[in-house]
Amino acid sequence: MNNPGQDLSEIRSMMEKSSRVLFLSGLAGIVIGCIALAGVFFSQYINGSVTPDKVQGYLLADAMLVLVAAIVTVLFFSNRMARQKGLPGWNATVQHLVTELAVPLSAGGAVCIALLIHETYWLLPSTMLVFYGLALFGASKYAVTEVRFLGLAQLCLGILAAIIPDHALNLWALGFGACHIVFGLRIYFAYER
Amino acid sequence: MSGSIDNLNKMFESRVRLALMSALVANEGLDFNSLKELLGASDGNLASHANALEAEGYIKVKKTFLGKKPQTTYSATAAGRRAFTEHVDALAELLNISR
Repeated sequence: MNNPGQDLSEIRSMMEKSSRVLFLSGLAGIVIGCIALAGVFFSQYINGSVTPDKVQGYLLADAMLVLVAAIVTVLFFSNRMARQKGLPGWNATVQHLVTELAVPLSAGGAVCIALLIHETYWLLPSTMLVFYGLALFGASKYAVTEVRFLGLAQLCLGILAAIIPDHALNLWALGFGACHIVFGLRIYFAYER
Repeated sequence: MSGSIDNLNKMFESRVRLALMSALVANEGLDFNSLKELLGASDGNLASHANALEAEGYIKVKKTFLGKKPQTTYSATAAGRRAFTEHVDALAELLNISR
């Protein structure tokens, strides 16, 4: 007969491996956090050094650059980690995770564009944080538990950013910058070392 | 004392079958290729174990077409989930006794 303890741990690991995406990379989190912080610092610099009529264009370009850099970072590190650990690449679980993220994020993106059109800039940080938080919270059942807490943190910061718009950008930096770095460190030390 | 050993399900004595069932219980359904990748099993090996579990009424097999490619999706039945839970409980009990 097999050893019951070994059987149980194999059952557990198979259930986890088959239903959760385990190759979210902590390093990616750290890099994204740094990119977000760099973006915020750069936007402060733009605000002080560019003529007001050009400021919006520069800020938008800054934001787009941060977004693209973040997506490239996630894809790069996840792909690398999946290969290193021999985890399944594109399967049903990854599809679930991507769908669960894509729906709230697309809705959030659309709302952000609407806010831009109506020049309601003060609500942008809050909207981004809230939709991102909802996306993470919903997707967390297909990923490691920490994602759930990251989602909750972003949600709280987003609501706070709507209540105190004067600090909206600082709260955004806290959410997309600091929270990602803390999350990344936690994931890195818990699963990757 | 021997009660829990009797509760162990003979169907789950094979490593591959136990892993297959674990994966199906944790998901709504999984296709043949995802399962193959997860278990690291060969086509023939996976198919024969899946057939055995299907014959026992523990899993359901659904064949569909994805474009022109046939796709086989497996899912655990209620009976299969019950049998699996009982097996896991029996394992846990054995572990407690041996401690």
